[in-house]
Amino acid sequence: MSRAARFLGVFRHTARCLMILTAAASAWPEPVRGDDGGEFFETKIRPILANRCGECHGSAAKIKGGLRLTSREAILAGGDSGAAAVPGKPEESLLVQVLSYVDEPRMPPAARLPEAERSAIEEWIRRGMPWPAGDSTAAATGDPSSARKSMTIGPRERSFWSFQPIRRVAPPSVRHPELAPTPIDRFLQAGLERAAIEPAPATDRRTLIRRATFDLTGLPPSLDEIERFVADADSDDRAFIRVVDRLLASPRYGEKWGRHWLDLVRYADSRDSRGVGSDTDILEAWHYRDYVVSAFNRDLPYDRFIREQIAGDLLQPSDPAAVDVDALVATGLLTIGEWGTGDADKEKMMTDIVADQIDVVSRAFLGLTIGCARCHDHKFDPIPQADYYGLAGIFFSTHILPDPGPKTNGSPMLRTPLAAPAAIEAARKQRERIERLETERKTKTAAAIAELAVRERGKTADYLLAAWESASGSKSGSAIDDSARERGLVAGILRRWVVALGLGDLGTPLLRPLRRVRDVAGVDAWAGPADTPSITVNANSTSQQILTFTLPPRSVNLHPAPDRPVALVWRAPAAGTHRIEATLADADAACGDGFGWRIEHRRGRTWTTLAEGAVENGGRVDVTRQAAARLERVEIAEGDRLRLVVLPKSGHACDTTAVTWKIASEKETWDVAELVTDLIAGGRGNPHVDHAGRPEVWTAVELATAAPAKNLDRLASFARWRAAVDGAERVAVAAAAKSIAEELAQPGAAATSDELVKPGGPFVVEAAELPEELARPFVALDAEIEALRKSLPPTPAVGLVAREGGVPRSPHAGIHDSRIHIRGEYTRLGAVVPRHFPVVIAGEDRPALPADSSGRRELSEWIADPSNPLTARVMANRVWQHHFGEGLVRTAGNFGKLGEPPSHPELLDHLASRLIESGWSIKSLHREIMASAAYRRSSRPSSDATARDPENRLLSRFRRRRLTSEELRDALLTIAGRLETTAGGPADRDFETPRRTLYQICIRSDRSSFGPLFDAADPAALIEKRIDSTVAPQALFLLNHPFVVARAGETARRVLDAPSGDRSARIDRLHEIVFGRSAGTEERAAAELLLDSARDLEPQAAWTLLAQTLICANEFMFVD
Amino acid sequence: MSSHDRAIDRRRMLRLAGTGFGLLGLRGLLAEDESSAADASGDPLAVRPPHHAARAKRVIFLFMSGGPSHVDLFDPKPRLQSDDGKPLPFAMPHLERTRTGNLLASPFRFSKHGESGIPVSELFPELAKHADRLCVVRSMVADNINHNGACLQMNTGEQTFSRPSIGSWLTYGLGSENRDLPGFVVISPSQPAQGAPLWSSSFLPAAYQGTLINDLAKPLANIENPRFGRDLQRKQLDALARINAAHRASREDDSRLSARIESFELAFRMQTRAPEAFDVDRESPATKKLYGLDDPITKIFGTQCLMARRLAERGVRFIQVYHTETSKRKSCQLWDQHGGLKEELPANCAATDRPIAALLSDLAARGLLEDTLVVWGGEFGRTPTAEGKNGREHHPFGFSMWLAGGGVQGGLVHGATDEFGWHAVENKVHVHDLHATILHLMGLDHTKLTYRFGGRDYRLTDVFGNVVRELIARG
Repeated sequence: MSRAARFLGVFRHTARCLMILTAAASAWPEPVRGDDGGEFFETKIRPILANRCGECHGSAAKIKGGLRLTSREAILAGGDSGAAAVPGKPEESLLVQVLSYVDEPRMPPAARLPEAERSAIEEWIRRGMPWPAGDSTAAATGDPSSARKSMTIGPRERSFWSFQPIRRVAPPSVRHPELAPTPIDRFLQAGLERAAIEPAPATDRRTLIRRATFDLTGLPPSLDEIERFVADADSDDRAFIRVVDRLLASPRYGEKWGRHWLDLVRYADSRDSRGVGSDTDILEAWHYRDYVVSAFNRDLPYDRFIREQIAGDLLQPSDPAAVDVDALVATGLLTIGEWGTGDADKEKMMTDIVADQIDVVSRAFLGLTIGCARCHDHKFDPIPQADYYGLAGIFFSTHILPDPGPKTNGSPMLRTPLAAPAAIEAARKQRERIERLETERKTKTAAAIAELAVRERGKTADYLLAAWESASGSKSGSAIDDSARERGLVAGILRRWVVALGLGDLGTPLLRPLRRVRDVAGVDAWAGPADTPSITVNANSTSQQILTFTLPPRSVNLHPAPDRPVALVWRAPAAGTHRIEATLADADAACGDGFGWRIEHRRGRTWTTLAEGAVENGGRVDVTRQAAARLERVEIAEGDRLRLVVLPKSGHACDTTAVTWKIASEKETWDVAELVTDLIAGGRGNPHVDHAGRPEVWTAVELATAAPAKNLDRLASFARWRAAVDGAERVAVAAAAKSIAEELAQPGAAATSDELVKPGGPFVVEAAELPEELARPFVALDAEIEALRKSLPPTPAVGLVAREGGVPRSPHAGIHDSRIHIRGEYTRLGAVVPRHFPVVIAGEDRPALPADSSGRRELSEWIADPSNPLTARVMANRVWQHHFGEGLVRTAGNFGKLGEPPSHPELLDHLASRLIESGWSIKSLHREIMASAAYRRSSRPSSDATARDPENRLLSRFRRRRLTSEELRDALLTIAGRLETTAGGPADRDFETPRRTLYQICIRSDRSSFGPLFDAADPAALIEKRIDSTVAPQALFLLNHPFVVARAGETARRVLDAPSGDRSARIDRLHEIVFGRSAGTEERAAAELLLDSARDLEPQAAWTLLAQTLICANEFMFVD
Repeated sequence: MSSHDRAIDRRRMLRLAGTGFGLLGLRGLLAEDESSAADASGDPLAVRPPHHAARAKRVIFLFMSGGPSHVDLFDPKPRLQSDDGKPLPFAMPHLERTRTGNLLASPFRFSKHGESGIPVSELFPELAKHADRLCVVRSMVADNINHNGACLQMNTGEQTFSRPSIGSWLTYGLGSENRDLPGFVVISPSQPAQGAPLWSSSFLPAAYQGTLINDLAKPLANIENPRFGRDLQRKQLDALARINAAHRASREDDSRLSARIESFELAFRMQTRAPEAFDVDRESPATKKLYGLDDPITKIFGTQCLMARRLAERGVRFIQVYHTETSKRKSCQLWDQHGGLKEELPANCAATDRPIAALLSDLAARGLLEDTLVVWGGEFGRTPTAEGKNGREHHPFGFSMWLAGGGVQGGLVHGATDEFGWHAVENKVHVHDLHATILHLMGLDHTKLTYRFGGRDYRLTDVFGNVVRELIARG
């Protein structure tokens, strides 16, 4: 397949056109033979074909690309890419394309043909490809390339065992029925008797309950459970089935058996550690995980489980007010796969998605490797390539992406609200209404703003003077708001004048509020007109991961623009000696190269830098520590400013910076953290009051780099203004202001004057800055908007749900059949194949699938049908495998020719029938299997059993097994008394979280954490059965990892806390906790010796050492 | 069928037969197979004989993550200089990420070096001194135009799905000469594109997984106990042995139990021996200087290369050194010059030139170069056309890599791109061909090194790949 990708570009298109034309080509009228065309052919064309192409496309047995150029017919029949030429149409002919050397493939590969030869071929095709009569014998006698063989499916193919109907056979009679109390045992006993093998005796109750508890719940039994079972006076049968029923009823059961299913369907919480939670990620997959766990716990009938996973989106209630969320998220089966990311070749990606879906559906439910027929007819099983594309059409008519996505990046996933259609519709309507009202509000606001601008223009001189006074700090305590209020001016306009006049080194406040950044509650931001610079606050008590950055809990975060710094300004409400403390941390370690920072102090119109520096990517700086001398005692006058500036470096997109900042005088302390809750609560977050309610103490601003007064420059009087400002005499400034205002009123300055009241001009404020009297008319409107907002139902959770129709805005949009992809390459399309199910099982006369739906529903029903010979067998075999370590068919995902035949075919059919008869109840199947004598046998073989049946295929004994990675971690938490049984929800990212390991985040690109070390399922593949590896790094983990040492310590603590202080009793107690039994002689001796060696340690440490030793022991790690 | 095939086949058969044993558990069963004496230890990393005489015993793969620009480093194009700013005179392939502009002359000069006269960019002054050791392949071809897929292909042969990486295949085929160390080590201070799938063993047993070293100061996980000293731990292992012996007494048949017992002893040995292997501080000041550990610009990659040499010396089979961090930048795609070609490319070269040259000299001086295959390259090259004013786009259609040591012909330029450096036109070497050639040099036949999984036999090269014999030194 990989080389296919080179076969691109125009060929993707022309190949398709050619396919359509192939049919026509075969009906092309025979050319006139024997005319001068023949001579042209002989002199010009035949030598080229023979000398230039013959080596690879001649009559040799092995030809390239399935193409022969040995006859006209062979050329028309073409090769893998379809017809090589279209008579009369060189421009549509593949041959001409490849000779032109424009794109891959290029022929001949060694070097481009001379121009003369290429044009000869073109000419020949244009003339209709004359070829001398009688020279096409190869084609007439059936050229192998033109007569494409197709796989035949007849009685012989259908007679393969797994395609035969399930047969119910009575259990055989056996010589020793006392050894075979259940039907299952009789099937097994017959085999044992044939091999003359005596089955192992029943195991003891202590071993049995540990075996059953790990089997059904993945956890060790509690001491109490063990003792109760051991002491149960009832018969072994009855006592044990009570244990089984108790375990099956436990919610822990679904967590264990759901995990088996998740292994099989390549479950992961995330695809790539660098983009956890990004829009191309599958972080919502946990809904599917919880669905699977719950399906097992509820004993959801397996046929329903199948139908929901393949077509749950189509099994929704007809009432639009109702929704079956389970069925929706069940289709996660189809959405959580792996198909690479970031691929420019979207068409390849879409075919890879379909390949993934066919693979998971066919292997998980049918035990068939239909994926092998992607490129050619299946090499071993009767699955022609057409069957693959029959299924592919179904999945090409299904989508899990909203569209193919950008070429330069990964494709975002389709996210579907998990709510009833009616509710979604109602919410949509309400949001629309809010939007309408907001538009109305905006229009009216804009009118008010414009009106205000025109009105205030008359006060230009006042603004000029006030701006100078506010900015120069000449007026004491002159916050802009106060200053404006005193003068009857509008604060927002005054602020703008300050900037417009070049007095604005105070920066421009970030006034545009952005609520719920990326839809995260409690994360709000303020920005200027562009996205950056911005200030973002996270009011949550947990950190929030957004795209590549992480906002710490209750934090203030600054983000500069590529060309402009961002600053947080503090205006001193009172004079005094102040101490400054601050930290800055790069909140986005994934990319970029860090950021720069400064702390500055403004007195009068002069800024002084108190401290500055740069932080590496992912780094953090404690400013106080770095520049203590300059920040310890800063003398500050009222109206002075301090500001914390964050400067961009390259890769500014990654410059999100978390800041903390405290300024303390003798009397009070200002902490920027105050903003966190206030900013969220108050509508008007920036500028912001301080803790005492003093206005505009905190302001997040962007620092302008250009002087914005360019319009005013045109005025003659502006020069006077400059001089006056430099002179800093109030009288002169006032006079200059007046003369600017007068000049603006002259007709000659009309253009400049108009600029001032246009958007961007100083008289044009943001909505939030409108004076109260102008904002008043909107109060009712705002109240309505607010009420509508408040009554909006909470945004429903979103899930990864498969939907009908191919990927929108792609060639696959809608419902359609697929073409065969020759050699699996989407660039080489063959015949259209109607959507259908594999013929060897489904037969050829099934009705066509509906034209208006994908056919997934029908597919799911066909798979879940009791008459499907594979479905029940495959699942019964899986259940058996997870109890006994091996399936009756040991290749659980391959019931085809390359799989192994069942060791006990009648038993397999018996189990499959029982599964169907029980209403597809998996729990019933467990109960039946576990009630068998076979399940309750000892794992220790007799010597003749080892010799005659070394692999234990006849099940004379139970198979010892190692704990899985999940069981190991869960058991460690259990013996330490730490396991918390809270179930479900988003995955845990902290390894220390004491929930079950099932809930630990599983990142597909991560192969170095705990799970993979202990052979957890590779989430990039369908895992039928886990590998069981023993490598030294596992031992290193158990010997040295802090998690293990900590759990050993807690286990030791349980022993030391027990009332009995006697060392021997404690050793017993420890063995009971870890192994479920008291210590033996040898173990006691080893334990005492170790405790003696550790006598210099504190008791807690010494007992930790011993507890860890037991944890490392084989008895803890294996289940007998 | 060679003894190696038999060993592999037998192992496969046993796995398929699903005894449920890990490889370590196979000791008794494999011991019956006299041809696989090494396997008798049951150690998945035991040395296994190659298919044919090997030219190299180990590989050091220097991976320049992001796609180094061939037309600025190893593939000089006079036409690019003369046609600077003109459009590419033929249609670009339709597989593209963004439409690039006109041809962009290389801002860097080339000159010929060594007796072979191989042209090397002025950005690699130290490496250029080794020109006669280099076998430069100028006609590399890959299939994927984005980092993830291309990195995956360069490492596993497959662009999309999970497959074992080349290091895993080699370790699976040959084992490791050092039982106290992993057989396949990946040294990458920052994560390259795609991450762990690049060194995954995928469906091969976990023992063949690459071990990632990302913290150069603290390379191995769980190698020290946070609480108990070595002596006490020895006593702990003695107690463990007694407890395990008591448990095993009635379970003699199960070799998994003893395999696990031994894994604890091996772990204990590793605690003392492995840290030494990674400790570059044990090198002489002269050696450290040679690798540039005295200069912040070369220190990071120099440490990586020196660590690689120490591991090579100790018999690690496959060592992959990713360039993902300089003193100024860390990036999963350090060599991804969409912009900043004139600044970042020299910086990358400056960070790697001296360390790579030192690695070649040092290996040669220790007699290791002749059986150590050194491979240099990235996942693809870059367009001869401009992206913006100072950058180049991804380019898998024709790019350069080089090999040295381990049986390759030094002082050779193999293959060629067209006069603009766009398409490989002469002696194309596809990624599969490179993989086939590396396996061949290591003594393995890429068509025979197979593993059965999910119903079929897999190979590193899928159904493709030809050994490029021209690259191999006569001898």
